[in-house]
Amino acid sequence: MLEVKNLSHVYMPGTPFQVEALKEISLKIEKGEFVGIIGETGSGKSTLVQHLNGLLRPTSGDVLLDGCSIWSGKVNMRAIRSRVALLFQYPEHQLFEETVYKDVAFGPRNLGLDEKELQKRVRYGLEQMELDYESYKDRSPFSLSGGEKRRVAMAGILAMKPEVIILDEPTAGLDPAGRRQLLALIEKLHSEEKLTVIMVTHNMDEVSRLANRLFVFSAGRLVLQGEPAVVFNSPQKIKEIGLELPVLSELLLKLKDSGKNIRTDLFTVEEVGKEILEYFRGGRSCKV
Amino acid sequence: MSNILELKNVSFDYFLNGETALRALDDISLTIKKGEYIALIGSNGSGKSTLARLLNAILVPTSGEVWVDGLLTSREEHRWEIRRRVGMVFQNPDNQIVATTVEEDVAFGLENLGIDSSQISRRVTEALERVGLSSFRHHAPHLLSGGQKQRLAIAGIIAMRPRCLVLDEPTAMLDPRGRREVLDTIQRMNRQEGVTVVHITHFMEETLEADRIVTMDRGKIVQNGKPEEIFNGETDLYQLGLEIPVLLRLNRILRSEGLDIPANILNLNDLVNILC
Repeated sequence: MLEVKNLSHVYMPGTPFQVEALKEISLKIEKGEFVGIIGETGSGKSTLVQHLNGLLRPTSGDVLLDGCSIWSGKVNMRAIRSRVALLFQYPEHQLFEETVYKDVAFGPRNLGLDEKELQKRVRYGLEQMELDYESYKDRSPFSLSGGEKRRVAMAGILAMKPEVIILDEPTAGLDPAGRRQLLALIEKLHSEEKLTVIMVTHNMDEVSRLANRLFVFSAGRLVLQGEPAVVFNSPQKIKEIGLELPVLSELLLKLKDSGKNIRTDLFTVEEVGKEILEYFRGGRSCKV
Repeated sequence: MSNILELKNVSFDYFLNGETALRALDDISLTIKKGEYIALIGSNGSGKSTLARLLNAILVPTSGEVWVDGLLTSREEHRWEIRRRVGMVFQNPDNQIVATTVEEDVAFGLENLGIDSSQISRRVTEALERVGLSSFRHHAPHLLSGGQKQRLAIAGIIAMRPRCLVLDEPTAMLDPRGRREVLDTIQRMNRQEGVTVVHITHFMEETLEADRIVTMDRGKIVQNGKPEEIFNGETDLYQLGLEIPVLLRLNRILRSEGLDIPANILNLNDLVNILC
């Protein structure tokens, strides 16, 4: 569905401040995937995702949506941005309207929808984020809690009815309850609303559990990709580029290193618990 | 050990148009001993940050008393000394930089204290060494990574030789490496230099190295104990908007199925040792 071909991006080219943020990146994301993008601060993650809906123009290379270059001049950029919606880091800083309704309606209004359809879209967006339409629509966004503001910002994206949502560190700064709730809602958007999800994150525990595929960036290059089980099976590489393993993977790998015949491709507490119990009970060992 | 921080029946109200708009802290009493490492947790709006700001007299209580090393925060003449003894580090690294080079940034606080320049230079050298930024002395702070900027903020504080460090979500905006760097620095300050630490965080894993965890909910302290007591106890942390670290959730599952995992197993290496 989305394809990045040989993409390079140079910030401030031809000046002393020239920085090559992305170097010859090629990758494909299929419809219905949940992909995670990980890497240190400054590795190029945010620069990459801003190319996926045309906010940044590649210095060289191309971005294709359904096989068509988004820079060919033949496609309407506005249409692309409503299909591939991007939620920035700390999106609540961009709330600005007097009411939640107006804020959520801002994006779809620019699509030229009539008031009736607009209202439907706002309701849809808020409900997907578990914000009751009637009780929230007239409130000021600034009277809401941090977690609620984040969900209002997200509702504004969903009201565009996108096919792909790109989330740049969606849970940064939230408290544990806020983080859990937002992740559950994102999971639901993927499984029930069938949205393709692209999530940039620093949280290895979360992304290993949620994503079906990971892209790992380091110093502007795509250095690893594949299922979480494949990516986190290269612990040396992951640590070399400043990342860490999900704590459960690290545990399983250490158990394996100590000679235990145990699976290392599991990422939820329940699965890992079951595997360890089976190992100790199932005759694979007699200790404990 | 003697107490360095003492809160006695402290309440704090935020006012709006002369009326109480919000009671952020409600009759809190807490003592913290010299050299302790306290993790302060609670959902957004539970009062953690308000409490932190009371500890170095950025705020003073509406009622009750806050004592720092025998000094009362509500007494105007004590405030400068209190702020020298209790340093604060905030969440956003970019908001805490004041100078154009790393060394000037560290020196800023010292200059305000009126310390003479040869001593400033010595203290800057020492503070940068302690946070591992010596080789960046002449760099521009805005070109540092997030983790380096937070360590710079810590250096600026420790150059003033505080007895207590209060950190309000210092790792919230950092990547894994930056987080590790900052956590290691905080721990070293505490273990090797004996600096008292109050560390506010939303990451439960970060609390496991603390001597004590204090949990807040709607302006009150609801738990106060060792990490193994808090996370293995009966109180439902999820009700409080919190959670149990991944590894301890795993321990619970293993224990409920009959494996003998002691309650004080909090980190990966200990768990591996028990299982091997």
